[in-house]
This record gives sequence, C-alpha cells and structure tokens, in this order.
Amino acid sequence: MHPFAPLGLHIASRVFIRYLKTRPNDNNILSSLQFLITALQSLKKSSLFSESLLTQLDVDLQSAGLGHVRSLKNRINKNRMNKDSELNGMQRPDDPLHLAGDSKTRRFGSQCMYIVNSKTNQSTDLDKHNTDKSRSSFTSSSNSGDQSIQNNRKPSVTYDDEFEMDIINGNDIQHVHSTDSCNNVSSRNTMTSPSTPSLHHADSHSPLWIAGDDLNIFNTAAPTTGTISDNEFQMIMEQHTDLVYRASHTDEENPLDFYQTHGIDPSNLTIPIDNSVNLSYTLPNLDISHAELQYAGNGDDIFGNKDIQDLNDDDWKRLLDAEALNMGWGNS
Amino acid sequence: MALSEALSSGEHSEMSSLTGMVLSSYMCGKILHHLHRVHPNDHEEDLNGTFWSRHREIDNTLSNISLNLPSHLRLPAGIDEPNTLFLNICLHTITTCLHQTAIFKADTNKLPQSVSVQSMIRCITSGAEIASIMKMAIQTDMSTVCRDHLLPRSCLTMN
Repeated sequence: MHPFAPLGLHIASRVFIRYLKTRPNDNNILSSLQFLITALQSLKKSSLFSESLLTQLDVDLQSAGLGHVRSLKNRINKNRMNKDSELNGMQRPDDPLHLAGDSKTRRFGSQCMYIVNSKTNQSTDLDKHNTDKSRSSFTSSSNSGDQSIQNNRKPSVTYDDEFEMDIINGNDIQHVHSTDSCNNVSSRNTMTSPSTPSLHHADSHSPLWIAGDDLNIFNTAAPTTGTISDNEFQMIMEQHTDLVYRASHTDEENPLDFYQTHGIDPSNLTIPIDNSVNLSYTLPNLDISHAELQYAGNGDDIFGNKDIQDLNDDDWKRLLDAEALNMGWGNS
Repeated sequence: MALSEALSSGEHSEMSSLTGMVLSSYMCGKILHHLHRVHPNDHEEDLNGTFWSRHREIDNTLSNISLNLPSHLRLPAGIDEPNTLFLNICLHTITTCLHQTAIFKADTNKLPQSVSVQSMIRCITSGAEIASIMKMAIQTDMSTVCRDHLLPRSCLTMN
C-alpha cells in the first residue's frame, strides 16, 4: 500500500465523523467509519504515518461524542494486559515454547485484554469463538456452560479489534494459522460485518476492564477491576502525557520545582566530581566552584593570582597540562 | 505525455499509473493554491465571483480526470497495482478536500444552504467510495498490494 494511502482513509474518516455529528444513528456510515479505523490500524504495520493519523482520529471521535468507536482505549488496555500477563508469568501467544506445546492451551487474546461481565462476573470465551463461526458467543453469554470455564481458569479472555487486525496481518498468530489470503479475507469480512462486536467492547456500560500496571498510568490505588469511562480515559491520557514529558528526576514532577526547592540555579548547575569514575571517556568537568579553582600544586588560584593577560607561555602550559590530567588524558 | 494533454478531455489509453499519480499531485497543488492563496478580489460571498468560479473549474477538472481514466487505471481492473489503488483513493480525497472547503466558505459567507448541502453530499459520497475501495483492496492478496511502491514521495509535493 502506498505510504500516503492512510491520508485518504483519514480524510474519509473525518468526513464520516462530521456527518455522524448530525446523524449519529446512521449505522451504514458508522460501520464504514469502523472499517476505515480498522483499516488504518492494519496499515500502521506498513506505514508509520497511520499511527499519528489514528491518534488524531481518536481525538476527533472523542470530541464528536463517538468514544465507543475510538480505538486508543482498546490499545491502551491491550498494552496493560500485555504487561499484566507478563508479570503473572503467563505465556504469550507468540512464545515459541508455548507454541511448541499443546495448541489447545493457547488462547486468543491472552495477549490482549480481559473482560468480565459486570453483572454475572462471567466473560466470553474466545476459544468458543474459534469454532463458532456465527460469533454468537460474543454476546456476553450468561449460560451455565461458561460458568465452569470461568471457574477453571482466571481470567477469561476475549479479543479486541486490534488483536483481530494482528490476525489479519499475520503478525501474531502467523505461527499457528495459515496466512494464505483466503483466511485473511474471511477474517476481514467477518470483522466488518454488522454482527462483529469489535470496538463495541469499549462501551463502558457492559464490561469491566481489569486494570494492570502497564505504562504506569493505571496504578492509582492499583485497581484490579474498574470501568473506564470517558472522563477516566481523559485523565489517563493526561497522566500518560505527563509521564512522557516527565524529567528524569524520580521524586519531583517538575524539574523546575526541584531546582527551586533545593535553591539551585539551573543555569549555574555544577557537576559533582566522582573520583571512582573513569573520566577518560567523559566530557570535561565544567565545575568552576571555588575549590576547583585552587591549583592543586601550590594552593594558589588556578591562574596563580595573576591577571590572565599577564600569563606567559609556561603558565599556560602548566594550566593546560593540569587540565588535561584532570580530564584523564594524562593517564595514557 | 504532457500535463496539458492529460488534463484535456478524451480517454488517454497510454496513461500510466505513475502519470495518474503526477496528475493527482498536480491537482493537490492546485487545490492548495485555491485554498491558501486567497486573493482580495476573490469575492467569496458571491457565487459568481472568482473563488467559486475557480472552485467549479477544479471540480470539473477532477470530474474530467475521473471520467477519462483509462480502463487499466480503473477499479477493479487495476486493483493489483498499488499506484492505481492510491490514484483512485487520491482523487476522492482531493474531491473531499475541495468540498470540505466549499462547505466552510459557504457557511462563513452565509451562502444558500443548497451549496453546503451539495458539497456535503459530495464529501460523503467520496468518503464512501474510499471505504469501498479499501474493502475492495483487502479482497486481494495484501502481499501484492503492500509491495514496495514505485512512486517517489515528492510527487505529492509538486507544484
């Protein structure tokens, strides 16, 4: 696909979003919009341009009141559950050791997210989805059959739209499934069918999203379960933005606050000397504190209490050699 | 093939997909001029003014290009060619951009409602066409579609 093809999809999506502002019940346009978003997610594997366009689309969708269509929340949840599953020692689907074992132990979506029905504390089983072409099992079934499955393992898994696009791209399940075009096309066709539940799991009314610790943006009070509403999503994104732009200081949020509380002028910040560090491959120390200005040999000022314009060649040579030694160059 | 020949009416059977891309890039540049280099004498509030005359001229040119595309640059015949795919997407994208601006200008200058409604219909149609093209494209082997394109990116920065 041409690298600028996502631009056309993005513009078409924005037209649809604008149209859906006035007619939010037009399901035909809504399904086309969902398809374009999933297509953009697919194209981001080949064109990095798609990622920024998707982010922009998420913002547009949120402002248009179409938050249930947006994809970023799903991606964040996927990343969270990735990290969570790794912390719990769960094997990832692309783990070669796992693939070498019994294929029945592998579950779709174990890399993605976990959904628990808020009322029945049950969730759908994606293994059933593999054999059920009609996808009737995705309607948050509450029959007794799922109860036993729920008790045998924790937690049950489902999938999200992006994971399904991973299936399409052969990115994730390539080792297990045939990646011929027929299978891919069938996946795509079912994905865009009206009965496809993709993206609808983002609806904050029915499922509960089990939170993890990924990206360190969900670790407030370390919730294990919770529903992400639009407001919470906005707060999470703001925290994430803060994390991205946070300085390397661990305790203080704002580096300027750090300087102010410690009475340090950042423009005159001195670098402490650590003699245990080999300075051969480091930049010269720019510390110009008074102690450093004292010349080590005779205790005089580094310029020997002379005006810099009065220094002769010997003085300059002595100064430069001393500085060279300080920088570690004289060791060799 | 000269640019003027490609823009003239009549079917151009010798037009390649790369020529089509250059043509669409030219139209992108033309729309850029149309939108961002507004002249004081454009008279956006007058439907017979320079701005709206230019808008209709670009719209007609786009329609001519779409009508005169050779058969191998149309879909689904050229679905295996990435440049053909992008050319068709690009033509609809340009149409969308043109009419989005028309909606904005019509609303700003309080022009008759029919102007913005017509442009909105064109935008929705183009968007639906892009979605349709993508649905058509994914029916093919993605390895063919995703193969490395031959189009230099500078084509989009022409003009």
